Amino acid sequence: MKFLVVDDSPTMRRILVNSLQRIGHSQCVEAGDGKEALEKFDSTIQFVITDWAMPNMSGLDLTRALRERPDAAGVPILMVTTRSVREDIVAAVEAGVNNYVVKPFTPQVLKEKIDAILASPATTG
Amino acid sequence: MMKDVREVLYDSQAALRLVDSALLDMTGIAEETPAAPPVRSRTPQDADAIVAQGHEALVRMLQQLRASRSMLQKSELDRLAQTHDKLREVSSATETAATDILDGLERATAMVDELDALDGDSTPAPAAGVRSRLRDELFGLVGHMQFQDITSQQLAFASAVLSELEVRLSDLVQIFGAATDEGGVPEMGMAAAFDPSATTLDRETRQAVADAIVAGTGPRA
Repeated sequence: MKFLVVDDSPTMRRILVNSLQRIGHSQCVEAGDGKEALEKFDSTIQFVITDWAMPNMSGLDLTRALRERPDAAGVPILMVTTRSVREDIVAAVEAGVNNYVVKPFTPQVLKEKIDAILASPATTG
Repeated sequence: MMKDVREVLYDSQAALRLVDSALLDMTGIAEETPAAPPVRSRTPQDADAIVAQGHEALVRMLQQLRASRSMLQKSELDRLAQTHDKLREVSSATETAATDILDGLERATAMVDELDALDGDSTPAPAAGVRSRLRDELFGLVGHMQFQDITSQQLAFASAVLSELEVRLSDLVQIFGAATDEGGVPEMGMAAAFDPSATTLDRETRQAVADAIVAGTGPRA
């Protein structure tokens, strides 16, 4: 499975990629913001993990943009962010994220959310 | 020589007192002995004196305000700019350190893998167990490096607050007199995107809130 990992922090991207490799997902494409993510997104990407607060284009806007693209509408999106205000989480879900992980995350939580998304009928069906 | 902010405020206060006093004097002259028998009609000399006094007071006030402006510009704005630099330096240093630490952790993990490969199936169970625990520890440390992203956002927030303060001080300085010598407020140069509420605290509680909201909305795709 090929992941697109979007975060403006190189450290965080590295941690996410490392965590994904650890749970058996070694194919990762990285982007530093939503704009770059849209440029790098193609039909081979099967899962998107995105931060919220990024320059140029936020994770929320990226989610909305992807949900409008026919080739990305069904791709699972996991938001991994420090934002944890109720309104923000609701906004992310309404924008179309499949699940939400609050930073700092544990590898167990990340795995749990990815597995849950992949096992959900909306993704598998 | 830089003056303490309290001295600047004291000077400004003194200037305002001077103006207040001059206004009182002028009022006194203007309303002088209203009940006294036959009110003396003011002479052109009285008017000249009032104007001269007023002018003198305004000149003194402007001098004080200019001095305050200059001190604000030199001390507080400079200090704010230095603080910006320091915050930027800290952010950059933690980013570099985080990269170095991650490099080291990845190298260490690769060495554990190497040890496993060298020993193959002949490894005694206790040694294999220790290596497995060591790998878990190293992986845990990688996860802990998330502090860098969070503290970086907290620093960016502190910088944004300072920037706002700098703009307000700069505006105040301009009200006092001419444009700032530095040609405006310097750019911060730190990441523009940050979460002002970024924290490492209460992770479980915050995740539980997210889980409840996501669970309440049903599957999405």
